[in-house]
Amino acid sequence: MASAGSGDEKAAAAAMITLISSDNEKFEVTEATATLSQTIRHMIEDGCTDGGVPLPNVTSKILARVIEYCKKHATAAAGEEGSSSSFSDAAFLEVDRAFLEELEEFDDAFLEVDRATLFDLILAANYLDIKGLLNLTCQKVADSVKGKTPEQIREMYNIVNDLTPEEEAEIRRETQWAFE
Amino acid sequence: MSDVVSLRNQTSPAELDNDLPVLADTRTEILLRVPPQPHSLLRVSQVCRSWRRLVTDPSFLRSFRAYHNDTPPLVGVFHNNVYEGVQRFTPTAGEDRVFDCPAHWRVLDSRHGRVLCLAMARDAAPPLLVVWDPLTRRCEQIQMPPDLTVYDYGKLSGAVVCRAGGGDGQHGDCRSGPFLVVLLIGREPRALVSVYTSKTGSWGEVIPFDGLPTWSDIVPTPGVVVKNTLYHPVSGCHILAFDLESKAFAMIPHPPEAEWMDVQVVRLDGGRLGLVVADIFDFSLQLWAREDAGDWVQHWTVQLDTLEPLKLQPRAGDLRDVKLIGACDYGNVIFLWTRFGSFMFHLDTMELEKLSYDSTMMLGGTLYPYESFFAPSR
Repeated sequence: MASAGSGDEKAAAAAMITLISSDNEKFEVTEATATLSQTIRHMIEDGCTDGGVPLPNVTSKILARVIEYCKKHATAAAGEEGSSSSFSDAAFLEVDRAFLEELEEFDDAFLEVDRATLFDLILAANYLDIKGLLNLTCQKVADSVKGKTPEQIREMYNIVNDLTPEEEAEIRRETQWAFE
Repeated sequence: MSDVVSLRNQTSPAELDNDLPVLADTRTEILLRVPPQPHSLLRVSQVCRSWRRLVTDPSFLRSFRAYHNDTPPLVGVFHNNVYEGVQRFTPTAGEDRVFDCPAHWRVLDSRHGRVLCLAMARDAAPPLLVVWDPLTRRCEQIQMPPDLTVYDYGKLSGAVVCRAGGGDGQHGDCRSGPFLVVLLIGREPRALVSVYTSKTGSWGEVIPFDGLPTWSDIVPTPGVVVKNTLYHPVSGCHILAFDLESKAFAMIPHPPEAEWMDVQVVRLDGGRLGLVVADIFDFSLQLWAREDAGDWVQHWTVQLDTLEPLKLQPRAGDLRDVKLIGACDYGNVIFLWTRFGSFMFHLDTMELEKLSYDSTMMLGGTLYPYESFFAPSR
């Protein structure tokens, strides 16, 4: 986990960032990987990454997963920038499509986690401001409410129903169509 | 988890956030991504107070609609085939609830969450117009315009037009906004149009137009609204254009290739008038779009029997029949009827999607799509 992904990228080898999890584990990643996080990008821009970036809200278990995601997607971003001129259009599109499919498969597999881990990933993505990861994980939760009744949603996420009987009656009256 | 809940409960009962802390921090991000179908947001609004507070917040609802490209989901379709025990509303896949439309209501139009119906009276009394919001069950009754004499209500056409945001602007929750009801009826050479304004709650004077070409009668199926103009189907080779601001009329000829064919006017995304033309002999469709200069430009022709699932069907004689039976206001989607069922047809991707229809749809009557976001009341 501590090694730096694909080492043959010229700029990447030079700029490594150390991320420190809440349980004090150190992760060394390329700047390209780290800057998928807007939070870390700003820290780098402000020059406050010497001696490592402490992430007191993220455990090593979750940080390892987040880095795994960022590495994959940083490669994707690099691929998009680098290859546009070197392929003919058709070949480029072919490579592009294959890569996007691979990325989609990676994302699907990445989301195969238990609910607690998914929530931790959302928290980390939110804190680190990683747009793609936040979108991916939030979408997973949003999709899970589809076709569920309010009661099933509460059970799924341990939410206490604090609506008063009057409020519930009001809701029912207004939206009778949904209960018939 | 219950520790967190009870702790917060003690400290600030009024602002209780009893869902998971992770959901409290990213609640907006998660709920923005809930599917746009009305049931999803409705159910979410009933989970707990903090969720309800969020999804009834106008700024959240604005973001929600923007997140879903300001394209309201198709909830289902109404039809006017009235038989004992037949549902007048067919929900689209994924939606399981239906709206009850009374048997004596004839749907004339449906746009921006409003359904315009003609409620026939039992006796000889004139019918009433009803502007209906199936989601909130609100109905507004409107008397027929006093100076419009209608001998055959089956020939009457209507349009309900949202005036929120004006013209072709962004439409969000149009429920509380102003609207127009436009009634049209006519046989060549004369069309009569009457416009009701919700702001004043009154009808303007009937506007006559004596320019309908030979054989061109007003067709009692819905038109489309593009920018400030209502484009209404007319039999034969024309479309009637009625400017909602200036109240001026114009006749727009079909492209010559589409004369006397079965056509469907459609509002193409991006605010252009489109025309889908069905060639029943060839079992094909063409899409034409009207450019700003007023010229029709053909975009494509497609053989229906080359598309899934119709290509799997035998190509026998009259079984290749096709009828155009309606269009969505959003998403470049039309409805078509074939002997193999009724379909949604996506004009962009040329995908056919079978409607879960019952036997009445075999008749191929017009479908009135109900497209709406859900906006829970506060």
